[in-house]
Order: sequence, then C-alpha cells, then structure tokens
Amino acid sequence: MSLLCFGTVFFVSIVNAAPVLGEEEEEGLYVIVNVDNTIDSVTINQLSRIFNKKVKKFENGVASLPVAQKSSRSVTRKFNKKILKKTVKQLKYYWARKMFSGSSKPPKSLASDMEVVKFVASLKNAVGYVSQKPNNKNVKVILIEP
Amino acid sequence: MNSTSNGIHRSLGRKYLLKRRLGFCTGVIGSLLLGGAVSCYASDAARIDALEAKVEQLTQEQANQGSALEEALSHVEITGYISLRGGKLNERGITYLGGVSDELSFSNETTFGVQLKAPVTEDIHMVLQLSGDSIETQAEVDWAFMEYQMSSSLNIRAGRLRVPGFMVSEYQAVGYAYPWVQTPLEVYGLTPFLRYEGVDFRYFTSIGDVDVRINPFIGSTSNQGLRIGQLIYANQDSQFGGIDIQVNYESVNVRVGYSKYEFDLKADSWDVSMEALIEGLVVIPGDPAIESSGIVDVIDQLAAGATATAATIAGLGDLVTAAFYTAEAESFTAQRSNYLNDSIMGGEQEGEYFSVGFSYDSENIVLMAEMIKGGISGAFPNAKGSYATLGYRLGSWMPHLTYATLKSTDDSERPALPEFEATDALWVAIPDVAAGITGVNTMIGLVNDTRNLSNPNQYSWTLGVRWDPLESVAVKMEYQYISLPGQSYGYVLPSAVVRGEGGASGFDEKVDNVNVVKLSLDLVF
Repeated sequence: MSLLCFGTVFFVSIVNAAPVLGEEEEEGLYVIVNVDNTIDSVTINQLSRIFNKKVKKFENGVASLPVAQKSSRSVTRKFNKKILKKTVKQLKYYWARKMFSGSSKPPKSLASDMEVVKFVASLKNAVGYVSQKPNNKNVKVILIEP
Repeated sequence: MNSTSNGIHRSLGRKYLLKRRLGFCTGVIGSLLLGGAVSCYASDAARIDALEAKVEQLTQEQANQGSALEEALSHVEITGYISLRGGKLNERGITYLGGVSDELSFSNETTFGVQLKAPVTEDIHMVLQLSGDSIETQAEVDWAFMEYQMSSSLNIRAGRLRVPGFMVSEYQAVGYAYPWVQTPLEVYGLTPFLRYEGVDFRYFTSIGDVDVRINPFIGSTSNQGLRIGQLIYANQDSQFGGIDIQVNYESVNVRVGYSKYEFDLKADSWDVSMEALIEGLVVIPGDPAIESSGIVDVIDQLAAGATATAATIAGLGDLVTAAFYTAEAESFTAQRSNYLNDSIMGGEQEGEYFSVGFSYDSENIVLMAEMIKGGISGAFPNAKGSYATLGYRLGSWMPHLTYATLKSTDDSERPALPEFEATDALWVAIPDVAAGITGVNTMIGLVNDTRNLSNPNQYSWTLGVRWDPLESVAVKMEYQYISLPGQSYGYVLPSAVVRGEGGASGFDEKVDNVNVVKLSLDLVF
C-alpha cells in the first residue's frame, strides 16, 4: 500500500516536473492499458523496454502491444523524453537498425488521444499513452514508477 | 485485376439501370438486361427483384473482397534505404578496398534496397529485401525468409538470411543505421560472406532488467564470391553454423559470436597465379603441350645451362674452371626444392571466427567497439581485427573518432620464397643465363609480393561527423589516415591488382600510408 502511495506521488511528480509552456500547460502524460489487464503499475524502464520492443510482455506475463502517437504530437515528445529518453531522430536511428535486420518494427503511431483510447479499449494486450485522463470504462490509467 | 474492376463496374451499372427504370417499364428493362429473351410479364418484377438482390449480394462481395485486399495490403510494410557514398584518396594508382581510389567517385560503394514485410498468418511473416550496389550487376536478395513466431520468446526464420557476424552485419548496407560512412573494414572485411540459405532460431529472454537474445544459425552457401571489399579471392560453396548472443541492459549492448565453416573453394585466382609463377602452366594442352615456364622450369633450364657450360669448358681442357660451373649446376639443382607451391587457397578449407562487441548509446555519448579473430585455413589470411569508436551527440550533429587495427596472425602460411642465388661472376660472359637468373628472381619477387598482399596488416584513424538534418536523413563526412607498416599492403592495393590486371608493374606502388576523404548521404524510408 505504501508502495502504491509512493508510486502515485512519483507519478504526479513526473507529470508535473517538466516546465511546461503554452498549449502543453494542461497536458499530462497518462499510460493506459485495457481494463482487463491485471497490471496496475509499470516502471519507466519496463515501459521503455516494451515500447522499444526489447521485451514482448508485461511483468504479469501478458503479451504487450505498445501503441504510440505521431511524432509531431507534444505528448509523444514528452513520452520520448521522459520514458524512452530519446529524441525523434534517435528513435528513428534505433528502429532503422531493427527494421533492416528483418526484426521488429516500431509501434504503430496513431493521430490522437482518442484513437489511442479506442485502440487500447478494443485490444486486451495494448498499452498506450495519452495527454488527457481518458473517460472510457474499457481502459485504465496505470502508475509509472521510477 | 482488370477483369475484376470491369466486373465491379458492370454490376454497378446494372444496378443503377435497374433502379432508374424499374418504376415505369419492367418490360423494357427486362429485355435490356436479359437480352430481349423475356417479354413484359408480371413475373418480370419478381425476376428483377431476385436479380437486384443478386446484384446487391455480388456488389457486397466485391466490396468485401476489396476491403480484404486493402486490409492485407495495409499490413505489408515497405521500407527502403539509399546510401550514396563517395570518396577519394591521395595516392595515384592506389585503391582502398572499401571502394575508394585516387579519383572521386560516388558509384563504388553506393548501396540501395527495399524491404517488404507481410503477414501470412497471425504468427507467420514473410520478409523480402532486395539490394543493389555497383559491384554486382543485378539486384541481390539480401533477405527472403519466413518467420514463425512460436511464442512471445521464440521465433524461427528459414530462407535466405544475412550472417550475424558482427554488431552491424545485418544492416551493413544501410548507412543510416551507423555513425560511419562505411563499417570499419579492419573488422567487417574479415567476414567470408554476407548471405546464406538456412535456418535460425531467435530466443528472447529477460533476467531482471537485462534482455538477452540468443541466436543460433545453420546454413549453406552456393557459388558465392569470397571477397574482401572489391577483391574476389575465390568462389565458394560452404556449410556453416554458429551462434550470436546479445545482451542488453539500458544503454549497454554486448554481443558475442562464434561461427565455424567448411568451404569448398573453386575458381581461385590465387592458386592459378601461384601455380603459373612457381610450377608453370599448361597453356595449350597436347603432345607436346605448350607450357608457360614457372620458377622451377627456369631453374631446370639454368641448371642444364650450367652443366652444358661445365662440359664445354672441360672439353677445352680447363678442368679447374669447369669444376666451378659443375658446382654452380649442383647449387641450382639443390635450390630448386626451395620453390614449392605449398601455399594454396583452393579445395576444401575450414574457417572459424570468434567475435565480441560492445556498444553504449546514451543521450550524448556513443561508444562502439568490436574485435574479431579468425580466418580460413590454407593461404587465406587469418587475422585479428578490432576498432573502437567514440561519438558525441550535439543536437543533430555527431562528431566521432575511430581507431581500427588489423593484424594477420598466420603470415607463416604465406612464407616468402628465398632469393635464387648464383655466382654472378661466372655468368658475365653468358648473357642468356644471366638473364635467366634475373628473370627467376623477378618471378620470386612476384610470388612474395602476392603473398604479402594477403598479409593484411594496417591501422587507421578516422575522424568524422554525422549530421541528421531531418528525421530519416544523414549526411556524413570523414577523414581517414591509414598506415601500412612494413611490407604490408593492408587493404590498400595497387588499382591494377584490384582490377584483376596484376602484373609486375602493379607491385611497385606499395605505399606506407594513405589519406582518405569520404562522404555519404543516407536515407531510409
């Protein structure tokens, strides 16, 4: 329980840590999974490995299907910076190596929060990130732990 | 495809007609549609209803098929790359095996390719990658395999695959995917071939925060060129197997690889030239066959010449002088056994390679280092190659510095032949024999130079910068200093040898160091 509280505190601090300006002012960063997924929290490192497809399942053993947003979205920049710790160009470099070795491709990238919510709501093993707290009973926000 | 779309238009057209005219005269419509065979009865209305339903159903099916096709196509991923490379070095008549010569050229090492990945079922994928470069005249299939995802941690690939010899091997043609204009030849030049037909397993597992990929592979090659840079040594069939293990923790990647080969080598230009120089070759078969003389043939002639001279002088009564010539003849005959053609590349040979690699790729610092040890038996060079690269990202710019070294470990497999010794004073007055002695030493020099060509000792420093102006574009510029210690040519050969012209003149151009400038424009899409 105390761990959960700590997680919550940290999650809040991540979301609020960045000095934000203009349109990004009201934007947060929420990681969402399907409501049927038993997972409640994920570490930054696990999330990064899932989105880089270095691992193909969550800690609870459920196969993971990450979904991103378009690189022009500010929430994507935020996610790349805080979670993946890479710029868009560095990510492209990473995925070029993967793809041309006949390996995995980058996560599908969708155009909006809404599409991500719809995607995650419809697929049991999906995981995505959004800028606004979603209002959909089929998805749930999970905690990001350090 | 055409007939399908015509079908769609036809059925759509019919439906449109039906709807417009149904209201006023079913008879006209009936005859129009059914070729005038049916007249204007009440039952026509029912027929038309049925037809309309049928058309509706067909249209729906067509639409469904269309969307199924669209759906399938939407899952086919098409990616591609272009790496336009160019360079120039500062010594005339010299070619660096990376494809750089004394004239600026953008064609030698330019590569391009396209990759398709399509799902067959949920668990099975097909990947096809075609690539081209200026050395091979037609597109090569780099990848063509089926991949079966057995579980989230294990997949099997079968078909044409690329050998995972080093850290960057699998995407060596894709310049965008690494910092340099080209992969360091001191390490990447040692790989015997790039592609094979076979099977590999890739097993993924995690131990805590450490991710591991274990990749055993087995396969064969058929009639592939065995080459270093642009220089083809032989054609080979082979069977081989190996394992590649990669361990990843956050920004750190470590890999270890081992592979073992059995080669059957054919059409070997090394063996042909060695045989011609040492033993002589049958140029035109027959009886008597016409042969080109090798070193041993010339020595036999010289020994015969010395014996004949001794006899002539003895006939003149000068037995003391004759004894000198007899001794010389015996010396020639004794030396003949020094010139053995025992350093060959052809036939059945074995190969073995061991490699380790390390990379660290953080926000700013990029570190890469690899080492390989191994080679092929026979006269092929066995060597130890390594490099280390340090780069630092400054926004879209990344300056980097690389040190690379290559040292052959089996120079004794290509021993230098000793000089042919003669007492010059005895032959001053007999120009034919004197010329023969000079000639045989020239041929010995050629053998030794050729054997030296395959003692690839060199080291190099490369200072470069990579600039990523856009998300999928990299522009690179490099300056490289290559040093070739002692008698070694390293990978810096006389252009004539690289072009396959060879000849005595080619060997005069050994240089001790060379400066290279390289440029590239790399795209992925």
